[in-house]
Amino acid sequence: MLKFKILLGVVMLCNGIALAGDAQVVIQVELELPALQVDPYFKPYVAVWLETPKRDYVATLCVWYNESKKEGGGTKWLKDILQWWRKSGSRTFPEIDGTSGATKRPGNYRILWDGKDSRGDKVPNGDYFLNFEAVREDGGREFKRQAITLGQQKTIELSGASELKKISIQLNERP
Amino acid sequence: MSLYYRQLILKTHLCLLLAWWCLGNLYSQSRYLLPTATILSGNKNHQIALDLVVSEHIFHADRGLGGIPIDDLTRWIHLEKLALSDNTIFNSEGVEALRRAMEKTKLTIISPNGTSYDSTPIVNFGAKSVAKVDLQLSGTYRIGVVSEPSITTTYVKADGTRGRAVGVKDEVEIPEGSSNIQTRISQSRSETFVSRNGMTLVALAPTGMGIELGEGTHPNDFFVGEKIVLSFLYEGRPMVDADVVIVKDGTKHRNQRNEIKLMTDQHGVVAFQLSEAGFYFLETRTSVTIQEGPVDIQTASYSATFEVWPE
Repeated sequence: MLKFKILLGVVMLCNGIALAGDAQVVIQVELELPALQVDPYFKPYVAVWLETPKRDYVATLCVWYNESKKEGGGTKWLKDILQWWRKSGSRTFPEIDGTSGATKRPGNYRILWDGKDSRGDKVPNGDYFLNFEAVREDGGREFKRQAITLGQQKTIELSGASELKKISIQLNERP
Repeated sequence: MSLYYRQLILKTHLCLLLAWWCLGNLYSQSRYLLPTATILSGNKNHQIALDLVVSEHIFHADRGLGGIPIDDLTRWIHLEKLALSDNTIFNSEGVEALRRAMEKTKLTIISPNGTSYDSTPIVNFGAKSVAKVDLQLSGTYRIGVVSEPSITTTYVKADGTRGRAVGVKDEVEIPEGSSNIQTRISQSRSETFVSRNGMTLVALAPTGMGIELGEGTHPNDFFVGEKIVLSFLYEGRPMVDADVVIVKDGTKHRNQRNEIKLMTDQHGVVAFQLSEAGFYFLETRTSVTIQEGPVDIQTASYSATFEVWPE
């Protein structure tokens, strides 16, 4: 039950838009952050976002960073999510509110995406890259990208090597 | 002798020692700017420190590039404490010395909105000089040391030793019997780029002076394994067939410099990939022979520091 609540909380925090009304879930990502036996352990900054095959930025599904710091102090390290920052963060900063959430402790998280970009426009069906990046203070960094086709039903399983663990991508059919 | 050249010679006079020293070490010493950060994010205003260095090694400081000597500043602070009436630093001569040091080497900062200023003080710590740059706007800053064109005449005396004077050959005293008399006009630019809360292009617009970067990959968007394209302009026109050398930092701790040697194409463009992340130094220069007028050779040099990120 507790786990369910956490999951629900994550979904709410991470993707309030997707849950609003009867919006269709176009991508559902199950993401596992590994428990690491290190001291000190800081919860990682994580971003999941979409790019075109030419690596043009399309939309951010979620970005988790330390929001609780005073006066937006946590935004100082957003640049360390290197690939996301160059493609999206720097362009949309500070208008990332729709997809941002607090950093998360190790565990499983669900990210839902309604198929719309930050302006609320529908992202057309077709080929894209779904990107995952995690970076931890005093720790490592991992970046993974997966080719996907929006609009076609498919499940893709990935495994991270260090800062990301199991990633499951559920693509839903969309007219 | 045009008024333009006369003014140049006046300006050149202040830079005589620096120019002499730099030219004497043209091929063994690099002049670089090394920022503490090239990409910044966050709501608060940012500040970076910048090393200004002339050194054989990349990026291992050896000599400061200009600035107010720290010893002079220390003396200033000390004297202020004592509040002596006979101090020398507070008199007009002392103030003038500090002002001259500030004027001699200036950091030109072009802000994301295109405005340019050069009032940032540089302090010389001997082995390196350091400046602090405040970044308040969002976008890309272009930060560099841009030298005014300087005119020097070199010659070989009758006894075979080399001589040098500031000015064109018709206006300077050259010992009788000298040969190989050449007047050159030289200009240099050393720069780096810092992006705060996003990369923009306004500050990158060429000014038309000396060697500069033209269109290409944004200088704050270099990643390992990706194609990087740079174009070079000299006085606003493509630099064709120019040698470009790129060196990764840490030359002091490896046996080979591992220079990447490139040549610009007919559009002044080079394309390359890098396999390691880190700070990189890039250098290029041009030399043009002039047939008419008092100047024989026109030269310009360019160096830039880039940060390359892991995939």
